[in-house]
Amino acid sequence: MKPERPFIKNPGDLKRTHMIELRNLEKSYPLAAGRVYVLRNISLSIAEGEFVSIMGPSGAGKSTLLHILGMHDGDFTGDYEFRAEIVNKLKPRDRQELQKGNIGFVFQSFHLLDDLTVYENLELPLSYRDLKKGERQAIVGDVLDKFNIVGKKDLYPAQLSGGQQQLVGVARAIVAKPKLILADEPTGNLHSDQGREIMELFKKLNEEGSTIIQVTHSETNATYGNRVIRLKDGWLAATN
Amino acid sequence: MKVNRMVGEVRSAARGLGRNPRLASIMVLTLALGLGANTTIFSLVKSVLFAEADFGRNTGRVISLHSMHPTRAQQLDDAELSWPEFEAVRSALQGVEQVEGFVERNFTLSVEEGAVRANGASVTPGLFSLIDAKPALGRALNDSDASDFGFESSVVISHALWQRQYGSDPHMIGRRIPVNGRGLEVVGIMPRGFAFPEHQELWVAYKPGTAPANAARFMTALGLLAPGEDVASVSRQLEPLSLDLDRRLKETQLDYRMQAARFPNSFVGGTAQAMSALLLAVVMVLLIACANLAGLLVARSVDRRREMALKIALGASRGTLIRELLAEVFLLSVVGAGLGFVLASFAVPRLVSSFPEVPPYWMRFEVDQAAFGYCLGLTFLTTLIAGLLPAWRSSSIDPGVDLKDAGRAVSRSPRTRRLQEGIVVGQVAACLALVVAAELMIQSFNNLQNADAGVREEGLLTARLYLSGNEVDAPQAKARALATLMDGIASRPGVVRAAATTAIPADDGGSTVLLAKDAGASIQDAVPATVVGASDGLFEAMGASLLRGRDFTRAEFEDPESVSVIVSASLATSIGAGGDVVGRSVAAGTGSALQWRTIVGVVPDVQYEEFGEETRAARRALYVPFARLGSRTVALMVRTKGTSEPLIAELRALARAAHPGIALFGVRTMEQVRISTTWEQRFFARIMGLFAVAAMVLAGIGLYGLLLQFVAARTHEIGVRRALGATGRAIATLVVARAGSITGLGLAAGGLLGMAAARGLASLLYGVTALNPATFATAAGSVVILTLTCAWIPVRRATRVDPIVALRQE
Repeated sequence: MKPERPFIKNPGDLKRTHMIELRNLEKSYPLAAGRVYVLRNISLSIAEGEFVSIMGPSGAGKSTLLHILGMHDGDFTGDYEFRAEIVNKLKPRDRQELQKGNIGFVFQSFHLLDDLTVYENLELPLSYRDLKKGERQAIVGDVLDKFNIVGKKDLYPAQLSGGQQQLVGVARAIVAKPKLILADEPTGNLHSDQGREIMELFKKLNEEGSTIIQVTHSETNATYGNRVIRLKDGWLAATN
Repeated sequence: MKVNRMVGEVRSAARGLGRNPRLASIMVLTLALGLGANTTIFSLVKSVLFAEADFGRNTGRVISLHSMHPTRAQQLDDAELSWPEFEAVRSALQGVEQVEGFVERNFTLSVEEGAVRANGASVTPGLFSLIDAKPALGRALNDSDASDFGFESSVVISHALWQRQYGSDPHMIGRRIPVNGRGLEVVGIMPRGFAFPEHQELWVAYKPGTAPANAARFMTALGLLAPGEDVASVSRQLEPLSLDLDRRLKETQLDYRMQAARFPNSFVGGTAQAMSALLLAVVMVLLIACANLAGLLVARSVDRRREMALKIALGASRGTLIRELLAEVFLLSVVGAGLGFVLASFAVPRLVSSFPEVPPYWMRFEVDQAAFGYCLGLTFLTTLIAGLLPAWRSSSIDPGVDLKDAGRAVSRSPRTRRLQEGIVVGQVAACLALVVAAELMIQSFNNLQNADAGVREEGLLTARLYLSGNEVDAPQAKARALATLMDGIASRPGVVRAAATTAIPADDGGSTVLLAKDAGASIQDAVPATVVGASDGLFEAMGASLLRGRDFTRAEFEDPESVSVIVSASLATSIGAGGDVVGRSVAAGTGSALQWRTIVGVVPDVQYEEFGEETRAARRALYVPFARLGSRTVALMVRTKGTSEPLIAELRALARAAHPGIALFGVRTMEQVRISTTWEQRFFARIMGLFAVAAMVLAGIGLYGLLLQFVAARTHEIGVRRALGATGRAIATLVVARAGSITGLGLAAGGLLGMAAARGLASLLYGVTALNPATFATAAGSVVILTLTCAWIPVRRATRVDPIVALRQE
């Protein structure tokens, strides 16, 4: 492993097809007379098709970075370029459209809606994307089939195990065929066997062409990817 | 031990409420308003519906006896007995110790400043003993005092009259005072406050000299029930008595049926039904307030699940938890009731003083023991209604779940959510019903206000007068005295025309007769008509221009033998069957007593009788020259240009100048007549409107609170939806859809409640049908607007949920 440095550029990446490029991105909150920085001077690029793991100790800013990448958080300085769009210069509505069309998110706590069945949870993102009912039915059916959970489509999240719930969470993240999948500690609440299943699934999705960025504490999970970005105290410590 | 425990629970309840004083204050204020309004209305209603007139030892045993005809729209206070009926009940009724009667009359007293009018009554000599009333000074009337109308020699006066007119003269007993031009000896002075039957100030004893005409129904009869008897037992005897009279006196008794009632009922009429409607309405307001309280308590209980779970884990039973929660509600209710009782104590006297008509002297509107008992009873009911369900619900917890995950598990509990939504659905339903009721009452009042009396009300002044004195016994003499007065008034600046009549439009009815259209007509073909005495110029004064023919002349006005009559347009249509009726003859009376008259003119319809009390004959007026009726009680109608204030100040002097025996009273503009005859409807419409507004506010608070909770409970879900691509509009739709579904259910239930309320009010309405779709549609529209207003802030909160924050909370 390379030694940790506070600031590293990786010129070699500039020559690839970049999906994501961050330039001097910073995130902070006001506190008393000054500011508290969560992310400092983050500059990195991520190419299409990469499987990147963001790692670092607690409080390093990993989830914050992930939510910025996921366009959930628009309050930052610096530039965030996504597929040639400067995200920070977009109006909120345009940012939301860009996010809807390109990004799927997997949460540590699954965040399935308890009052909806598995089928309805999968359909939910599609219902926000101007698709007719018939189209939505077809897509959800495909995903249920792909993830081998057709038999569970009428069950509620409370009736599933943790691993099954996360499986549904991953299915929901890809149902709208996003270009980029973001996963925040996807196996954090799962047993090791369940976690392994999920990571195998991510690997398969990556091999099929999805770009994946995950936040993880697990070195084992990081080996599923092809690059690791390390953060420490908000700074980019290393990328390898 | 039990008392100690109860005291402990109450103390603990007080501490618990003290931790959130703002919430406790809101709950107490809500209850204070609801309980205070209820106590206020109950205090009014009980005096009208339940209270007994204070008749000393005979309180609760006095009944009134009435004679009703199926074709006449009568109230009990308009259903006097004829003399044969009075004699029949006096002689034949069992279970009644005594039957007496009275006739309300107006008297003219000649005092220093001229003739003044006083309300009084001719009473049968035993009446005062029936109502257990004794004079404070002197003696009561007895058989030796009794005589026919106009031949009295003795009088008993009220305390108020003695003070006001005679300066509390210590030598009043035995003094002779001029009453109706005759000197009557004052034999007694009644105690302070006595004014039987309503506002009367002097009483003379009555016994007919010759038998009164069988057809004349003039005697208000009272009976004193024997101990153990009731109204029902007397009523059962009246049917065969009525049938017997029917058979013996067919011409005057046909189809009349006597009935008995509690004494107060004969004075309240339709007011009783309206009061009952008000009481129901205010109870519904309280129920809505209780629902708010229940909703707040359910929401509060969610925050206290861990505390409840801990208590169970430490050994508390479910019953103990319920008792503790009910203690809190009881404490809130007691404090609210106390405040509400104080509010009612202020409100009742102010409401009563706003009545334009003074209630009968025996009707006491007080916030008394009965009102206190009612308030107390409601307090217990409120505790149960508002507290039991939330207490039951919040005590049903699983410590195993709630100690680990208190708040989250139950805030999402479908049962809790359904309970809260059910409460708000009930509130919306009750709110809609109240809004429907209020709309109907307000529409009805507006119709009354705008109803066309057939006269031009602006610039029309009315007054009543009484012609006393033997010198005006003859009808011509009365007419001449009136003519002098009319001419005197007409000569004043600003006066266009002055006229005399026997009935003020939209206030008085006339006497009803059956008119025969031709000589061979049977009684079934007769047309009911209202007879009104008129002077020349009456129609000009009223602003009702002649349609055909001519007005009365001055000569006809003064001629008791005049055969000219003028008919209203409706009566003309009934008589004429399309042709011109001027020149035709009509006759009043029956059989050989037919009196033929010639129609000389047709005028537009004028409403006689108060709006809402119309009979078939109310607009079928038969005007006869005043002298043909020759009544002593007369009304003046004066058309003025501009304000009539200067004229009002001069009227009494003008009346004295025309004839010293003219006692003028009741001077009102036509607008004031309208106000005084519709004040009850205005009062009820206003109060109902207030209740509807209160219901909207309370239901709105309930709905608003529920939607805020909905948004708070779904913050996480909203965050997830946002993260998955939901727009602000989609989130807003989520909240509005929830509000809409609750309101929709409430409207459906409220529609049924509203229909029941509308049916209950149907008989009180004027010019509006109870189940008209427009009213329901506008009421529902108001509730929908309320929903959207209440949803606005929750929608804004929901659309501003930051997905990052929402997801991090998870």
